[in-house]
Amino acid sequence: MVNNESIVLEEVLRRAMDDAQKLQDSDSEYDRGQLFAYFGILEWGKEQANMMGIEFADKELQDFDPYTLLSKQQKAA
Amino acid sequence: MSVMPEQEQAQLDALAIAIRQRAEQAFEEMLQRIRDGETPRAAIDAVTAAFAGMYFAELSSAFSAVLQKNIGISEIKAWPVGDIDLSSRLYRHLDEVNAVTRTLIANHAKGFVQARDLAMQIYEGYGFKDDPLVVMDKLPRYLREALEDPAVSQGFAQIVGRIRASNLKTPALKASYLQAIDALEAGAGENRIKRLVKVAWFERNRYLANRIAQTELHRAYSNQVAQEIMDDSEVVWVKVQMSRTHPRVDICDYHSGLNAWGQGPGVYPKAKAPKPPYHPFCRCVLVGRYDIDADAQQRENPNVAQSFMQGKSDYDQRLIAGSRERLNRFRDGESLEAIYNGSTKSQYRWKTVGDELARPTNSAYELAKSGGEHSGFLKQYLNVPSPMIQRGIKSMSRRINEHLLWMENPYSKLPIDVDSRSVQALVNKKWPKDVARITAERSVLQGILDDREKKNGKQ
Repeated sequence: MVNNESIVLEEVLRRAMDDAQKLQDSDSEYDRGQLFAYFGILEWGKEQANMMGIEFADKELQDFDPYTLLSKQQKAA
Repeated sequence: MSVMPEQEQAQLDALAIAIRQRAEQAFEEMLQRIRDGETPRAAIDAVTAAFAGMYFAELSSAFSAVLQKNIGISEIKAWPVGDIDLSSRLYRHLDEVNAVTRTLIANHAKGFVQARDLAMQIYEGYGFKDDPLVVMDKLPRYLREALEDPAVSQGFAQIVGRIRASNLKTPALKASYLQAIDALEAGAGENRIKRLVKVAWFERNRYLANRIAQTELHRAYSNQVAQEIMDDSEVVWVKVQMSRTHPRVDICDYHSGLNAWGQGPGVYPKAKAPKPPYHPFCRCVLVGRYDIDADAQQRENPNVAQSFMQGKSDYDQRLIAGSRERLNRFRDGESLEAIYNGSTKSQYRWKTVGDELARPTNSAYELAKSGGEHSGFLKQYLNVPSPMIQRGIKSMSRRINEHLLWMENPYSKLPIDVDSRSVQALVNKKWPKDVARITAERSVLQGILDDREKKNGKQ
C-alpha cells in the first residue's frame, strides 16, 4: 500500500529513527528521556504500519526493531 | 451470580484498609531512605514503584473476590477508567503527588538553611550575649514550636545547660550557640519534614489511590449487578438503595428518594433506573423489586423533581444540586440531569441502566464515526471486506495478549540489560496504554462488523 500518507509516515519514522540512534551514546538524563520518547513513537508507528499492511520501501526502517534502542548492549555495539 | 451488596461493601472496606496500610508502609520506607542518605527523588521513585505494585495486587484480589472471576494484575492495569486505563490514572496522580513532595522537601531544605542564617543573624544582632536562651524568642516559629516537643528540645537543653555551666565566652560561646541551634534544627527538621511529607505524599496518595479503587470496584460491581437485572426477565422494577454508611446528603439522596414512577421512593422500571456510581466513593446499589406488580403501569411523573426538591431544606437542596449556582439554575427551570451532565466527567454523567447495558455501546466506534479519535482508522477500514476485518480483530487480540504477557514478565520481551526505569515505564505506562489503544481500535473494527450485520438483518 503506497500512498501519500504512508510516504509521510515513512519519512517521519526515518527521521525519528536517525535522531534516536544519535542519542543512544548519551548518558545524560535529558537525552535518555528524549530517546524513550522517540522509542514510543517509533514502536507505535511501526505497530500501526504493520497493522495497516504498510511495508516501507526504506529497508533499514522496515527491519528496524525500536526495542533495540533501549538495550545498553546495542548502544555499545 | 454477583456477591451480596453487604459482601461487596465489606470488600470495599477491606480494600480501603489495605491501601492505607500499603501507603503507610511506603511512607515509612521513604522517610527511612531519605534518613539513610538517598536523594528524595530516588527515595520517592523507589517507594512509588513498590506502592504501585502492591496496589495493583490488592486491586486484583479485591476485583476477583467481588466479581467472582479471576482478574489478573495486567487486566487491572488496563482496566478502563473514563477515557484512560487504571494504571495511567494512578500514575497521573502519583506523578503530581511526587512532584509536589519533591518541591516541598527541596523548599524545606532551603528553608532550613535560611533559618540557620536567620538564627545566626539574630545572635550577631544581639552582639555578645551571656545567655543564648534569650535569643530563642527571636527564633523562627517552627523552631520555637519544636522546643515544645521534649524529644526535640532535649538535645538543645543539654547543650544550653553545658554552655551555662561552663560560663563560655565568645568565640567559644558562639560555637556552642551554633551547636545548640544545629541540634534543635536536626530534631525540628525531622519532625517538620515528616509532617509535611505525611500530608503531601501519604495522605494525598492514600486518598487518590483509594478513590480510584473504591469507585472503580463499585462501578464494576454495579455493572455486573445491572447486567444480571437486565437479564432476569422476572425483574421489572428496581430500587436505588443507598449504603447505610452514606455520609452526607448529595445526589444519591435524589436518586434513591425520587418517586418518579409512583411505585415508591427510588423505584424505577429497570431500564430507566439511573445506574450507580453517581460520584466518586458512591456505594449505591440497584436491588430488584420482585414484590412490585410486573404489570403495573409505567408512567413517569414529569414534575416530580421540583416537588421532591421543595420537600427538602434549602441547605439539602444545595447539597443535592452540588452548589448554590446549580441550585439556582434548577430553580430557573433547568433539569438536574442537564445541570449534572453539563459539568460532570463522562463517567459520572447520568445514564440509565438501559442506555448502558440493554444497548451495548461501542464508544470508540461512536467516537470514530463522529470524526473523533480513530476516525482515520475507521475510514481506512470502512470498505474492507468483512473476512479481512475479522482477521484484523484476531491479530489485534493476539497483540493485546502479547502485551499483557509482557506486562506480567517484561523480560520475555526485553533484553536483560534494559535499565529498570525504562522497564517500569513500559510495564506501568506504555504497554497498558498500548493495550487500551489496540482495544479501542479493535472495538472500531467490531463496530464496522456490527453495523454491517444490522444492515444485513434489516434487508
